Formats: sequence, C-alpha cells, structure tokens
Amino acid sequence: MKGIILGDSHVGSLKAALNCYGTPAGFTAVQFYAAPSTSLGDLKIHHGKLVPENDRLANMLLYTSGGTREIVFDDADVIILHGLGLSISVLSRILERCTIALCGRNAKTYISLSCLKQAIADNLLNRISIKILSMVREVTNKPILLSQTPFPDESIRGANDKRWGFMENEDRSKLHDCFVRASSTMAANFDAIFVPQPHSTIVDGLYTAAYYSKGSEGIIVDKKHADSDFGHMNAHYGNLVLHDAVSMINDI
Amino acid sequence: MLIDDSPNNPYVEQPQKAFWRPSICNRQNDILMELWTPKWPINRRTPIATAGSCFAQHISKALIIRGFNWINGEIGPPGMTSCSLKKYNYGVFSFRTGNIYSVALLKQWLLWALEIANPPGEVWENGGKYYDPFRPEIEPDGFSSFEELIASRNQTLYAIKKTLESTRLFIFTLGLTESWINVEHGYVYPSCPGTHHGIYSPRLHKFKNFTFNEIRKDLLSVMGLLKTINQRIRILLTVSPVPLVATASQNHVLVATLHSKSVLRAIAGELANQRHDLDYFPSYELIASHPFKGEYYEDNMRTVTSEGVQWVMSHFFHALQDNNFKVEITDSQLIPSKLTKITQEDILCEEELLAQFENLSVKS
Repeated sequence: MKGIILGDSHVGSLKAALNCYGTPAGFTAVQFYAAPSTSLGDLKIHHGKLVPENDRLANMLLYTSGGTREIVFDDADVIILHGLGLSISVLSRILERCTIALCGRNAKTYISLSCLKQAIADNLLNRISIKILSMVREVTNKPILLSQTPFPDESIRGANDKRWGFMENEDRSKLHDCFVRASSTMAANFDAIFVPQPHSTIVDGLYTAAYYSKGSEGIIVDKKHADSDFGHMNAHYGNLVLHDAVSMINDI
Repeated sequence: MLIDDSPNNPYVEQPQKAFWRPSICNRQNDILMELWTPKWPINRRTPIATAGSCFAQHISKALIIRGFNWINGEIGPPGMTSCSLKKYNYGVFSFRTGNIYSVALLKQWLLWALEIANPPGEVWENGGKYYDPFRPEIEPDGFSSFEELIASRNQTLYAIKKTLESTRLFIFTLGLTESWINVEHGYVYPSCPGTHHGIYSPRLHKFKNFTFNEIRKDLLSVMGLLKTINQRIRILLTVSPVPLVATASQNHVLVATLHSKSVLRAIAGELANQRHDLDYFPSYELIASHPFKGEYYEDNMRTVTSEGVQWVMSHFFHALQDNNFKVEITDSQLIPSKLTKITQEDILCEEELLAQFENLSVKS
C-alpha cells in the first residue's frame, strides 16, 4: 500500500518515525508533501493534480517529497492529511466567551455540548485542513485519512501560556469528545476518516505526554525544535499515528 | 340663535388620515401616510429588544438589516456560521426563549428571570435526550442531560434580565390567546405537549383560551415586571397578522383566529391609549385588513410574504423618519447571510408543526 502524506510542520514527527522505525507494516511506500504553517493553502487544482501557486511552496514540495513539485494521486492507495490546523486550538476562540461548565464561569455564556460541537465544526471550516481535504476529494476518490494536530505537551501547563488557558478552565474530557465528534463529522462530509490522536499519548484528557514531545523535529531534516516548543512531537508519536492510520485503513 | 353657514363639527378639523377615502381609496403615496406616529423618539441608537411570536422574527431581522441597535442578549459562539446560529436559535430574538406566543408565557419568563418564581422541574426525555417544555425546539438535538438543560435555561433567564436592563424599547409581538397549561400548577407551555416533544395527557394538560380580562391583567403585570428591571423601558406592541395553524377551541379556525386577534388588538389598543410608556404599531392592519385584499399572504393565506414584511417595516421606518439607509454593522454575528429581503425560510415557527396533524383530524 502506498501512502501520500500531506501536511504542515507536524509531518516532521511522521517523517522522523519512518527514519527511526522504518516504513510501518502495511505500507510499501510513503511519499511526503509538506510545507510550514498554512503554506499548503497555496495549492490549486490543475488537470487532476495539486500544484503550487508560488515558487516558495514549489520548493518546499520539492524538498519534502524528494523531487516532485506537483502532487499526483494516481498511484496512491491512501492519502493522509496530517495537522494542517485540525487542532484543539480551535477551542481557544470559542471558549474565550463561552463555557460548558454547568455552574457558569465568570459571566461567560453557557453553551450546550451539541452547540460546542457545532461551533468547533464551523470554526474548522476556516482551517486549511478542510480546504486541502476538499481539493483532494475533488481530484480523487481514494481513501483519505484526516489526522489531527497533536494536543500540546503537558509541560505547557507550567509555561503560563494564555492561549491554552481554556484547557484548565473546562472539563477536558468533554472538550476532547466534542473535538473528536466535530472533526469526525467534518471528515465524513468529504467521505474521509478522522484519525484522532493515539489514545496512549494523551494525559489528563487533553494534553500529550511530555515523552512524545522531547526531541521533536520539523520537516527540515536535522532541525530539532527547542525544548520550549510544546506543540511538535517526536518519532515515537509519529510512529503511533502511522500505526493507527494503518489500522483504520485496514478497517475500510 | 346661532346662524352660521359654514360647517361646524369636529370632523372639519380632522386631518386627512382620519378619512377613509383620501387615506385608503385615493391615497397618493405608496405607503399610508401618518399611519403611526411613535409616542417617543426611536432612532438607530435606541437599544431595542424583541420577543414574541413567529412574526416578531421579521422585526428583529429588519432592525438588524437596517442597522438599528438591536440587542442580542445571547450571542452564539464565535465562528459559528449564520446557518448554525439559526439552527441553535441564536440571534432570533433578543434572548433564547423561542417563540413567546402569549402574554401569560411572557409573564412567566419574566417571573423566572426575576426569581420571583422558580421554573418547574418538568423536563421531557426521549431517547436519552432532554427537551425543555418551555423551549422545546431551542436545541436541534435536545440536551444531553437534565443538568445541561437547566444550565442552558438559566443562561437564558440571566440574559433576559441583563438584556432588559439596558433596553430602551421592548418590541413584543402578540400572537395567540390560545395556550396549554399544566393542570396542577398552572404554568404555561409555548405549545401543546406532544406536538414537538413530550407526551400529552388530558390529566396533566389543559387547553386555555385566555380572555380579554386575563390577558389585560397579565399585560399590566408584565409592564410592572419590566419596570422592576428597568424604569425607563418602553413597550411597543404589535399583533401578528399570521392566522392560527390550528385551534383547540372547538370553533372554526377562521372564527378562532379572528377572536384571538381581535382580543389582542383590543387590549393593545386600550392600553396604548391609557399608558404613556406603551405604544401600538399596526402590523396587523397592514397585512390582514381588507384594503390590502390578502395580497401580502402566500397562497396558503397564512404566511406573510416577503413583500408583506417589507410593506410593514417600510411603514415602521418611515414613521421613525429613518430615511438614510446606510448599514454599518460591525458585529459579524448580526450580519445575516445575505443583506437582502427577509424570507419565510428564515423564520422558525413551532406553531407550524401543528399543520402536520391536520390529516389526522376527523373530517367533518
């Protein structure tokens, strides 16, 4: 089975997994196409392929794929979209003004879990993952897996990062459940499958165990992230994601 | 002995609007001039809250499109699409009560919001989902728990009080005199249990067609409760021109409709004449009265057309002398998906559901 993986900097953990553990059982080959942040948003459809709209993206695709500027899905058996803003951070904006706490929180507006799920789904519409997903689906009927951006490293709790404050103020298991449900619904809308974060990597409902963050690296080879980077994960994490992906593909 | 050849009676001094022929038959303008003169100044800065029957939704939408200061007391989550906001009943009225068809129901909401009375513990459960008897359609999928339902309702009660505290003009659209009440405790449901959710039981639920005196008394109570929240608040009443979908009065639905609307119209008019802080706007007359020959209803003779809504609101804004239509809406949540005319598809109406039962009725 040949897999094509599209993603942002979080693809680094998957690439590192291949380097560290080898190609996972079930895959015969894996082809990466990655670019930092939202750069893949500069792809466009052209004659059944995804092609870059600018040289910067073209160079990133060339680099990460090992020699290809254009993304063709003809000989792929499965396409995996990893990261690309499919992140729990989508809750930050929502929970700045709203709460799911039954007893209320500092005059924030209470919303139901169903409403939160819908709000997550609506906010995800603006994320690049959905844009890429719709483009890929437009050019191919192959199976597509939508793999989420990892939850932040649990060490972030000591960093007093206000962007993640909502994770301490709400019921994390409920937030997790709403996020997974919303993402699954979004994926299903495009006949894709959502791949949640591997369960064994999660601590305290919504954080990633620090073990999976140490020594993380991005999509630029041999460029490791600083210890203060609580968002990117390492090869051990990537390996678990790829194994979960294989399991899901086998279930199709 | 008085000798005077010139006409001498009060009608001589009446303005043109007092006479049928020049005002209605031979009117020169597209709209009815001087149909309504507001008792107080209302402009785009006036904080306005709306509630009431289905027709009231047209008013809130028109205010938003026109750039008036419509208060959204329960703003939905950031980033939610306008379609989702509507599905979850955000931005329909100033608070998420759903339609309030009767004065008794409005009074009930205010008593709860002011904590003068406590909402009853009645909750409807079906298939693991929980439905609020007083807002049965407020969440498209129901609530996941009893606690969630209560928390949501408490949020609305908080929003009612908070919104009315800063409201200068409360526009309430009177819809029905017919209601369903709880036999034991007397509280009012927005619709008959069993039509949306819940289970109807003649032992528990009773039909009530509120009388003129009862509604008048409740409306005066409502005024008192509103003043408790905000001394400066003013109320603008209007009567929905939308006929009943169905009646449980044992009368013909046409008779029941005219009865309801007449009672509501009479109360609104009488209190508007008596109180300086209450006014009446003639939506009902503009749509349902015979000079307009039903042309502002759809083929079902019940749904008000978009043109009808525009007709009503054009009189409203003309009376306010709001002629500079420049919309500057900064809150993205208040921007409808299209800044165009309001369509019936945009209106959420629980009463419409009653039409589903018409084929089950015994044919006479």
